[in-house]
Amino acid sequence: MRIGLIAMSGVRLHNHELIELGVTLPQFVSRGKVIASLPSLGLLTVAALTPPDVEVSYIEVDTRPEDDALEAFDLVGISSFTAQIEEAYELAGRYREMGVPVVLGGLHVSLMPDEAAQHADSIVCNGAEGAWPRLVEDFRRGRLQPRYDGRRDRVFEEPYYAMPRFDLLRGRPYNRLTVQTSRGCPLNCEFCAASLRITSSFQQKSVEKAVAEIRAATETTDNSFLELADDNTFINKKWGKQFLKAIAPLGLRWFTETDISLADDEELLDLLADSGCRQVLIGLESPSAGALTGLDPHDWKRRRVEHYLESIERIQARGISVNGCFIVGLDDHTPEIFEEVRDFVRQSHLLEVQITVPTPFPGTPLYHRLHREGRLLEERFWSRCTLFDVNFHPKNMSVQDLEAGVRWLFKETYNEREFNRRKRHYIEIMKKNRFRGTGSEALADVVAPQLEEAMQC
Amino acid sequence: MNIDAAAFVRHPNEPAVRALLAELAQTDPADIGLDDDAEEVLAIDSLSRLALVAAIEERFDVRFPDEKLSELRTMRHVLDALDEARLEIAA
Repeated sequence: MRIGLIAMSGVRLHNHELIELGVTLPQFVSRGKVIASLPSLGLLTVAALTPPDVEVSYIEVDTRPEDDALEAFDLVGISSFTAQIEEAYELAGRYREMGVPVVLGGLHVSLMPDEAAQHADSIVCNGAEGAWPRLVEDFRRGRLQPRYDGRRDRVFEEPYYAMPRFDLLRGRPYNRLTVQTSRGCPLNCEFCAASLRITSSFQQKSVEKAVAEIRAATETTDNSFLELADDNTFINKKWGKQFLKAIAPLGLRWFTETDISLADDEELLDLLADSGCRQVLIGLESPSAGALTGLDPHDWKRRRVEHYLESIERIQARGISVNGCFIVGLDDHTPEIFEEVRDFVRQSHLLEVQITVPTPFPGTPLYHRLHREGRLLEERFWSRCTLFDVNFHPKNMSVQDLEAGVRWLFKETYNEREFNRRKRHYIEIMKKNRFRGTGSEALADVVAPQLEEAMQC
Repeated sequence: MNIDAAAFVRHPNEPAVRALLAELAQTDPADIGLDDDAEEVLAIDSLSRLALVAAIEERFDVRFPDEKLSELRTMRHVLDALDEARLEIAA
């Protein structure tokens, strides 16, 4: 039996003016290229949960494939985020017309099961753990069920856990690989459409499992840059320190997402710098407290905002760059927010910046609230769930004001001059730290002759 | 090897720049070509490219203009930029 596992990949954007800006502004393009080149960890996990006597192919689809490019598998599994789901449905339809049964899965499917079920022979909700092996067995016996629900808990424990099939990536030109150490995040921000929506609580792999996966992933490539597919890696600081000590000897360069409380723990920061972590992405959302009220159930981010600047400085002073994420157009925001964010970025010297608009991904609390309030622009807008396309009526500005403000902020933040200014700040930090935290501490030795010359003068 | 490339190989700063690139690319210095793009060919990520700039500035006691930072993508770019920086210091 042959199963094709298909990941809908690529960055999607529909705002033509932003697209035009994107091709000329350096930083947005560089981040987009990175996201577009990550393999689908979900499908690699599905492959691992497939019985060994079944042949599995892992395929990524960025653009609509021609008819003759569609292989006649016995079964196809397609995973997609919301922005590509309509394309996934179309592809599913084409396979089904060929007589190939299709299973759909992924976050969007889990949150919109009734919709997805119309386009597939079967759907898998939540993760594949606890579901995919049953599905394959049922398929073999000719009794594929319309829906399978994977586990929402204990996904990293036996008998449900399986190490993703990183070997399927061998020989492919990824510029970074991905491993997941945790699912979920207790902050539960209303806009979040990540793994917390398919898990019952924050779950994290043992350090041993996480390290074993990192070893397996990095063995498939000569380029060992790693991106952890976590929503929030350092919720558990004790686990985090054990993890960092364990990976320090591996010589990695890596990236992850976490929250600003990372800056509170000096020991954790030191270990992070020495582990090869190059960048952390942190959801700052807004530089003003008002907009953060109610964003998460405990107002956690609102209570942190007055410490944002010093926290960013503390992290970056270790040589670990921060990618600060902002959402403009939150309910408390007025048109002044665009200058406020621009000024905050300048003041904070964030090396990288991500600017998005509130995106009501289906199934999120944000989606349900905006739907209740009658503020969604359309009933179905999945292909526009790109983080950059506006899909709702903002509270204190028009849609056009928000779109224009985002364009302005993109130009102000992502232009070469501003990017170079942020780069310059980071370069000076690296010199001051003798390259600690850069993942290239040996540079200090290569640079050493200059120091010797200076001492001889 | 063309004349330009040969000239660069005899460039006095070439061994040090090559050593820095090799350290970041985790490769044999002899495998680095004059026009190999740091990111596309040598797989030096964007943050490591900043480390490269920092290291070169430290090693040669120069400071590149900020508008040059995005242009330093190959050994040739770096050697050219060093020559320009040194000329400015001498002037």
